[in-house]
Amino acid sequence: MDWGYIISITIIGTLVVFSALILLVLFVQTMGIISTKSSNKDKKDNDAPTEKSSANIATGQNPAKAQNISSVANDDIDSEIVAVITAAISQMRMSKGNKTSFRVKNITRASNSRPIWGLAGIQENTRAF
Amino acid sequence: MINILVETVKDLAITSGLYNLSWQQGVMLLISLVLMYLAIAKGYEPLLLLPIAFGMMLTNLPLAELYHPELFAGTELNIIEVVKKGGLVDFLYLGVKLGIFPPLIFLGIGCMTDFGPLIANPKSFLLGAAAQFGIFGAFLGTMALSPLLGYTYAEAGAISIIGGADGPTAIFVTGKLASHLLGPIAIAAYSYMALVPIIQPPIMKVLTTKEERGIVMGQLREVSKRERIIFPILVTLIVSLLVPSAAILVGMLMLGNLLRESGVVDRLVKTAQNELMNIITICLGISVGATATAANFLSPKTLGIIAIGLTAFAIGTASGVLFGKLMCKLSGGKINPLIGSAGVSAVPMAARVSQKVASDENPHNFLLMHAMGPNVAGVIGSAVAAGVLISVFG
Repeated sequence: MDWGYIISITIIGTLVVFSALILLVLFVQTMGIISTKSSNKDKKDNDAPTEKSSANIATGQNPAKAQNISSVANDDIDSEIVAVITAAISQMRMSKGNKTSFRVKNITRASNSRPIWGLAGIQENTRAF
Repeated sequence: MINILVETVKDLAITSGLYNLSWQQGVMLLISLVLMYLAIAKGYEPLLLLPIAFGMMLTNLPLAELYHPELFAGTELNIIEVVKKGGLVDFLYLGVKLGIFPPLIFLGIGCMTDFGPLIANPKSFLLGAAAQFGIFGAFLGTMALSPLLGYTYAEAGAISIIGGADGPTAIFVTGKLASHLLGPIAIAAYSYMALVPIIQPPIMKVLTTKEERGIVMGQLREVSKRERIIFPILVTLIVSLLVPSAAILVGMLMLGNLLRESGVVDRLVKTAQNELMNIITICLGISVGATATAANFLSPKTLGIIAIGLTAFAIGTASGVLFGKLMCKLSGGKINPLIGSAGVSAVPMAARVSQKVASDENPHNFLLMHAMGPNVAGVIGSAVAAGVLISVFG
């Protein structure tokens, strides 16, 4: 039994695994950076018209008086999300017979927030232990 | 008249299985029953352990001769002999011997795996690599036991792959390097994978502080469809160019994932992750179980495999957690070291254990998606390690 051979196999094997996965880290990270940049650019191009229309929904007011969407959503919340939240509030008020106009002044993401369905899924998946 | 009757009964008794049952076969039948109990009553990896245990029972039935190990002995496989003398189990075993079943299982796994958490946090690859110390640590351990148990280099390579905690990879490597050890290695690998929730938490808790276990990691970024489609192609090219012998395992895993992420071949995805995977699982389980004949299984080498397998799991878990601690320090406390233990593959069990240990410390800490990154990286890492072992000892 040649311990020199055994140890060299161990070292080479570990190095090959690490170098393959380090290469993957570099390539995937680069891919992520390129993708994030291109999606940010796409978002900027698309944001202007969307903001205007969503702001109208958000305030339920005359477009001239509409509040800017960026002041409604403090964090990086999509204008579509603002529209959905506003629509949900509107629906809830309508179902209770309240037909007066309203204005969404502020939407803030709660820290470490997690969708309730995601939370339920995790609890379901880890219940076995 | 009475003499003829007695002779007939005597002949029947002599040719019965009960008369010809050796004590070794009796022990193997008992072991197969215990494994069936563990699969059915305790739910230990039942999808594979149950067919393996049943295959083990079939192969050890006296005079049934369902599996013929002599057809596969030697370095050259004589297919004509297998066709002439072989039966169902021998034909199914060809799928293992020729390395067909494990890559097909990987195709199904690829269809079911979401690599999103790994793409969102590519540093997880490093944790998947660190956990492979279990494989190479086990290789050293096996060679250290070699003077006692007589393991060859190829056998040591096959045994050490248990540390990768990946069943199809373990079967693939063993089929190539030491097919006579297929039964004990597959059973050890699947048993320890089922015991991950028991083996890992004590090691994770000993190696981390309360503060480290309580670290809450930030939400992962959203991964675009374009990235998800490029990823499997990228991984296949990089890994196959570096370690060609890992190409079939990684290639099939990534093909499955590309089918899933492309979104244009739903029918193929459904077939690969359901019907195909289930059929192959049955064939693989029976044929692997059938190799566990008394002559192959009841030897001191099996005891060594069971001990080394457990050590390999422990080393893999510990090295993943320790590397996680290093990354935690380097990132200024942003990485919870508990996700490192998920690098030992055993998808998704190891990631669920990371989540469970973290939530024991802080019920509002959700590490599951963060742990899935190293978990799936571990699958790729163990496939690369398998490629290295096959290219060196194959």
